Amino acid sequence: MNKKTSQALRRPNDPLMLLLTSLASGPKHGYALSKDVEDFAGVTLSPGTLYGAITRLEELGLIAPLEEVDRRRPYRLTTNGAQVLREVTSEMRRLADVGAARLRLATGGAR
Amino acid sequence: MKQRDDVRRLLRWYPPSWRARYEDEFLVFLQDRLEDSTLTLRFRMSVAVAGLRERCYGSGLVGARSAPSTQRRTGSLTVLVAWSIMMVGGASLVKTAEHFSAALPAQSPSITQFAYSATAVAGMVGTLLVIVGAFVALPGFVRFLRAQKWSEVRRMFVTSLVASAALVVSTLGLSLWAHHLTTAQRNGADGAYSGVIVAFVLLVVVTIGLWTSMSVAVASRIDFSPRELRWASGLAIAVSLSSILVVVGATVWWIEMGVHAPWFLQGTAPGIATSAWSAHLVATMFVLVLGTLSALWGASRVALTYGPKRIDTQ
Repeated sequence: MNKKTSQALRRPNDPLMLLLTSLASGPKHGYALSKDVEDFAGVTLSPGTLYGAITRLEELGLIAPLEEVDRRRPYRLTTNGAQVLREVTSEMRRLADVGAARLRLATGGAR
Repeated sequence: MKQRDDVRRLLRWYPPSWRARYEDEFLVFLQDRLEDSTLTLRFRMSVAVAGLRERCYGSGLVGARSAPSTQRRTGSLTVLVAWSIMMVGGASLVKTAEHFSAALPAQSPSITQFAYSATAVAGMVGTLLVIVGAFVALPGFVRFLRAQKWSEVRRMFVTSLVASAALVVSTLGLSLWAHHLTTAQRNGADGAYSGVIVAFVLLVVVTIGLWTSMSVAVASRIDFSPRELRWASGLAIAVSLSSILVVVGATVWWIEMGVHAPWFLQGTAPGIATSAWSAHLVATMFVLVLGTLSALWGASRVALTYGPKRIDTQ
């Protein structure tokens, strides 16, 4: 994965990251993905952005298509995709922990 | 039904390879989405922009997702298109600079003449390189004909041919007309002649554009060998360097003319103090700079494929 993609994945609202997160709970087709992202992140992905991200993730081998169901093709997270998502979320959690810890120091531990 | 047709039409923004893979499911997705909302301009724009983006990435015009061979071909074709733009700008510069030597004061430095000559030589070298490029593409063109793909571009060829025929006829007609006019009438005093000249210039631009589109359409359908692509890449980089020389030479010429004979640039009587910012020359330089930037973009796309090995697609 190149630097640009890697950096993009570290942004929590990046479409690639949002789709990986959505697929972590199981395979979904395009419409279900967009609805799920809307539910858990409050982000409405435009059709072009959604399918641009699906294309990219598939090219990167992070997601894989499944058999069509009623003309809708679901996608699943690949092993590689799950690994990338694990690494990125760990990194995000670490940064969030650092931020929270520093905030506690800055406010003298008071909330 | 109409909405479904509209949605299907929207997918034309995407490249054929993408449509072959995603069209069906994307259509179903769009139809699902349209049950919640209507086909707004924003919706259409989103699909169109994403389609164009896919085209740019897929053709190798931007990013590093396409194969190096695709990127080299697209980069070289971008330079070809850029050179067509340069030809339009160059023709305009030649017209602007007609008889400029006579307008220069006797004691003016020879750098003006040198800059113009350098521009002309760079222009000729660039054109020569493009012609060499056409010869490089010749074996591929023969393969293209043997593969019976000519029918795919026949209509474009006929249109270009008709435009060229119209150009030849109008050139002859204009030459005959011009012989019956005085210098003043040829230089703007005759409204009808000036109007026809504008139409003629448009015809020149359209004809160059049509032949360039035709060349790009043919070259996009040819499977070039690595050797042919290497040659095309080298030529593309050389043409982009010629473009830079054209712009530098034209700029120096403009500055020098602005210092020594600004009235020439404005078409006023000699000796009258005036600005060097002639609208015609500004437009000409804009076209030349646009062509050069496009050529540099194409050349950089080519050059990047010869850099360190790429490890990913984005």
